[in-house]
Amino acid sequence: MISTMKSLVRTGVLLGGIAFGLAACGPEYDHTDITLTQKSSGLEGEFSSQRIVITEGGVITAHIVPWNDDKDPLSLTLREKASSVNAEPMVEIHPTVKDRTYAFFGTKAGQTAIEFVVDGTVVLTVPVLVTKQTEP
Amino acid sequence: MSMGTTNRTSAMLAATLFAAAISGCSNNPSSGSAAYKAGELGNGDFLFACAGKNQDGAACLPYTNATTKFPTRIASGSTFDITFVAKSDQGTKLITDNPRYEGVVVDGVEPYVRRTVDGTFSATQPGYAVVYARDSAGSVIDFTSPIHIVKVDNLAIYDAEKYVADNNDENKVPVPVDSIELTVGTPRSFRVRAEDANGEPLAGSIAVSWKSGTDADKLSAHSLAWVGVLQGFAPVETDVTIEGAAIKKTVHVTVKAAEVTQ
Repeated sequence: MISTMKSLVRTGVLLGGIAFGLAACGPEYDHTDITLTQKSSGLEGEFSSQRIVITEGGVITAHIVPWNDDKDPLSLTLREKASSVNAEPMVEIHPTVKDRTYAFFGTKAGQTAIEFVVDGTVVLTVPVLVTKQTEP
Repeated sequence: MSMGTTNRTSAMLAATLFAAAISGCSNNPSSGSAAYKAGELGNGDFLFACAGKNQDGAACLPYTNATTKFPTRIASGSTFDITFVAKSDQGTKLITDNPRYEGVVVDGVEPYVRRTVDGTFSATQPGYAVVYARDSAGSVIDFTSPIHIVKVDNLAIYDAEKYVADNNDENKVPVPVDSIELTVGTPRSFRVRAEDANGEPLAGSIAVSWKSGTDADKLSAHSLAWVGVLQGFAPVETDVTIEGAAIKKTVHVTVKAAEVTQ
């Protein structure tokens, strides 16, 4: 009797382990492709996974696609990482009418960061520099 | 054909005619006009308009708020209007073949330009400003290349009636006056246009206050809509003050007695 119960427990543990392993083998976030598509002419603008530069009052757009390891595109949320609760936003982020292309408005000069969120998890944080316009 | 079907057909015909009439009512310049500034994303154009009729001598045609050329330089502290036009269509709902934009709003990227409560734009500080169009979902449809907002150095005063007289030449910039002469009992109205440090005119409407000085009993100066109205009650040589776009200046005014006809 005892030996039968031990056998059942071992089987249960084994099946549970297999189920957990299978679940862990599902597609996971892999990487994000980023392409700068437009910037306000005559104003500074850069966009990469390492650094974003926007001129205060200017606009840049970027095509951004996060991928899983099955090479499927994932849905993305972008948000400015606020330095404090009452911090004034330095960047406005809007979707554009073009799929997976986003517009970034520099609204206040300073340093901030943008978080790339996939399935509720921050997968990338990119520092942002919003530069002051040079005197026209 | 039943009566109901006839009514439905009539209603549909009326709706179609109404829609056709509405779409044919656009006073927009024709496609390719210099009045448009092409959007950077290629989804439409932006059309400049003065914030009110007949008050922007640098950009707008007399008696209209329309312009023939999208201005390259706009006065800091001025107001103006910009609409988004896609395939000759404008308004909150832009129906193009594909795509279709709903709830279109035109807005500005702060801090150089700001949408005001009355729906016009305010050029808030010198620099380069971007205006954009978005739909009801908040998606950006298009945006302008940077628009140069220029510091105002002078408010040039010009005779509002001369402006009227010049309306046959839409490109003619009104000639400013350095001093003003009035005759007792005959009011005259004046407008201002903004100028940069080189005396070049700047687009945008400037709200100006006109004030008479210590001789208010002999000369009345007040602001009425976008014009300053001066009226002399007795001969006097005095100054009036005008203020707008962070500029304050005085103008010498001579009020002469009316000629008495024998």
